[in-house]
Amino acid sequence: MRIDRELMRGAGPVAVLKLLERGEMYGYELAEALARRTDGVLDMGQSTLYPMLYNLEAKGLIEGVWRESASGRDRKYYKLTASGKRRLAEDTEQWRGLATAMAALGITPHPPAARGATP
Amino acid sequence: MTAARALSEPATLLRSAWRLLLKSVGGPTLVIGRRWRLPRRRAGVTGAGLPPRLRNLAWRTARTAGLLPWERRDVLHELCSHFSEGLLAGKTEDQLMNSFGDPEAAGRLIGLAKRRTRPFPYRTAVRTVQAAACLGVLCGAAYGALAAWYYTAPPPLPAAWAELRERFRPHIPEEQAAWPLYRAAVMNLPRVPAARLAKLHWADLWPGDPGFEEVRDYLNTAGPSLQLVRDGARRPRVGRTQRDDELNRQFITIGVRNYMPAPPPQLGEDPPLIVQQGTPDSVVHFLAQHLLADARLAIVEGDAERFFADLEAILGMGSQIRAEPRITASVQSSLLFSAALYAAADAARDADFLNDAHLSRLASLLAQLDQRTTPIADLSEERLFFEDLLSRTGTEWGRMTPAGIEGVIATMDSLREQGGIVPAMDLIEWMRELGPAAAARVARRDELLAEFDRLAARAFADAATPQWAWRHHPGDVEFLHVTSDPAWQARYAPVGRIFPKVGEQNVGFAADRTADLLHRRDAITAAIALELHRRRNGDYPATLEALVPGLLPAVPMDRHTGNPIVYGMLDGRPLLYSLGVDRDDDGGRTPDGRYGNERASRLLSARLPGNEPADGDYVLWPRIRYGGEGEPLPVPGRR
Repeated sequence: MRIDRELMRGAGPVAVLKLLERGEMYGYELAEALARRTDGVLDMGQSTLYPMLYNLEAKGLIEGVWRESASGRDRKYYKLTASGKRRLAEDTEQWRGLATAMAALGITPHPPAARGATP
Repeated sequence: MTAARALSEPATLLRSAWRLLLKSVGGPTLVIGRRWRLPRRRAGVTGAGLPPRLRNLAWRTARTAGLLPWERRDVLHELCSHFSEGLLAGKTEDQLMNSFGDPEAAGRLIGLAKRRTRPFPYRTAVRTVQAAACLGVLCGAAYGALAAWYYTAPPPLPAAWAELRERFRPHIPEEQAAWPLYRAAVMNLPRVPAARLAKLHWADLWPGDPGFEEVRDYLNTAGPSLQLVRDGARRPRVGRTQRDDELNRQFITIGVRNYMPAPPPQLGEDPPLIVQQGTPDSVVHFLAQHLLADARLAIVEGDAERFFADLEAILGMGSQIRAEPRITASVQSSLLFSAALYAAADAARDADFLNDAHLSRLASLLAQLDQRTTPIADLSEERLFFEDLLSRTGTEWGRMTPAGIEGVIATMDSLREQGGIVPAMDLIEWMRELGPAAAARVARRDELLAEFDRLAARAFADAATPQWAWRHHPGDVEFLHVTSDPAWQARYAPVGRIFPKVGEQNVGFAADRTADLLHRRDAITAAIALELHRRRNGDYPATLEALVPGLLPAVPMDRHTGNPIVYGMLDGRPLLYSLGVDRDDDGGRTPDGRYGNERASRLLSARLPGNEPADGDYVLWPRIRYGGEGEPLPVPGRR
């Protein structure tokens, strides 16, 4: 399924931030993870991914560091900054609200109840 | 490196400071945006060992981004790394190319994103350079438009200024015009080089002075010419001009060559009116100097009738010049009247020269000075000179034209080359440097004339104010204020440069000189009354009030204070003085206690803020002779 460009523009950055929450990743790894973990829904081309990474870097939400990998290759690893973590928390809250609203309208199925929440 | 060594070597110290600065602000991060040292661009791409299609894809993307070299290398390296990882993961070249997307769009987006990561100082500098470049382009375009506007201006307005000038120079019948007699007088004068006469200070020579005999011989042989001058002085107007006919041209080439400092230059047809003034006044003044010297000689020789003839002629010449509607004519006439007063004072001071009847005649002549020194009316002819200049250099709307400016400058250059005096030099220099931008800021012609009229009205209002009623002339203060304002100077530059020459200073000068003439005239009249009182009563009176009304209509007023002039004694003879521009009584002591008597009456120098008036009194009687520098004056006593 192809996602509209405008939707991708809103969802892409938060998806990247979410992936980096677990640890630093390099560009190819990020592209693969996005495609694999979203069943190809957020499989954005690299022509979209890299500008997005540079934008997030320009905003100070992520930080890229060149480092030599164990295989001897130069890779640019990206990791979340403190500001990126705050932004991820805010965006997550907003997306949850959005998902709830969409579910109430019947556009998306009801999201599973939050872990530990009282039914 | 030790601290002592660092401090002892300036270069080392600077290097250390630079390193410290880089370390404290982020060093390379500040300059190139990151710390990591990248491999060289070619090495990065070829080292990736990518297939040519993928390498070209990375290249196209990086090139489209339009980045700085190190930024481009960074992007290239990351894309190549990405493709290498993909190939190692088992993807085909086609799969990687298809999954990449549009390289052109990617390049543009990468460029936008990367430019945001540049350091703030860099972005600020770039924006500043861009803004400066835009401003430069705009200024260049504006200047280009102005230059086109300036250099394509139509030619100056045609105007019959010579005819307009005739409004101020009505035709005077030959029998009523003094000029033909003056011209003949000059041409009949003995041929003595003017330079020789100028060296003698011949208008103020007395027996015993070096050169007195030479001047006396000269004047005695100049008798016929002096009689022509006396006859001419009885006529109502000068009735010139020099350029009207062949006879005047002959006068210029024969007469003036011998007597004038420089011959009037030949300036071709229709030169600016401003270069055509002055010489006739100079000729009259030159002849008046002869009469003044002759009057002195008459005093020495005891010839009262000749003295009165010369005095009346000088006063008549002053009236003729005064009738011209120019402020410079008013100044020139003041000089002539001043010369007459010197002659009158010299005659009245010599107790044996004039009898009672002569003294009464002299007082009667001096009383006519009130009518002769009519108030200064206007700057009509000066304004016409100004309007003529504006019409030659600009259009109706004041648009200065290079062609017109060149014409005026060429005339002035010609005048200078022929040894003439270039009037309004400031204005000429300003026009020489005028360009499109400055020309565009100059006010319209009608606005320039209106400003000229406004300043003239202010100067005349000041001139009409009694001397004792002001400290600094408001008009002078305003003129100083506007001329020190760059915006005013840019807009009214022609007024600012020509008005001081024709208007402001001359109006004030003429008014001050006229007031000074009447001041001195009043004192001489009082001195004549004192002498008549002495002859009738054997001594001078205790006060000037004792002379009123039999010998004097009223006690003369000190024009610097509005009070009666001070009456004292000096070496047993009367002393009359004004308190001067400082308006305090120094007991008849002149400035510096020595000479420069008239410094105490120089209003012009004391009328501007910041100029302190000369300390001392203005001695009106007896006349203190110039040339006494270094010789202390006797200490006067109060009567």
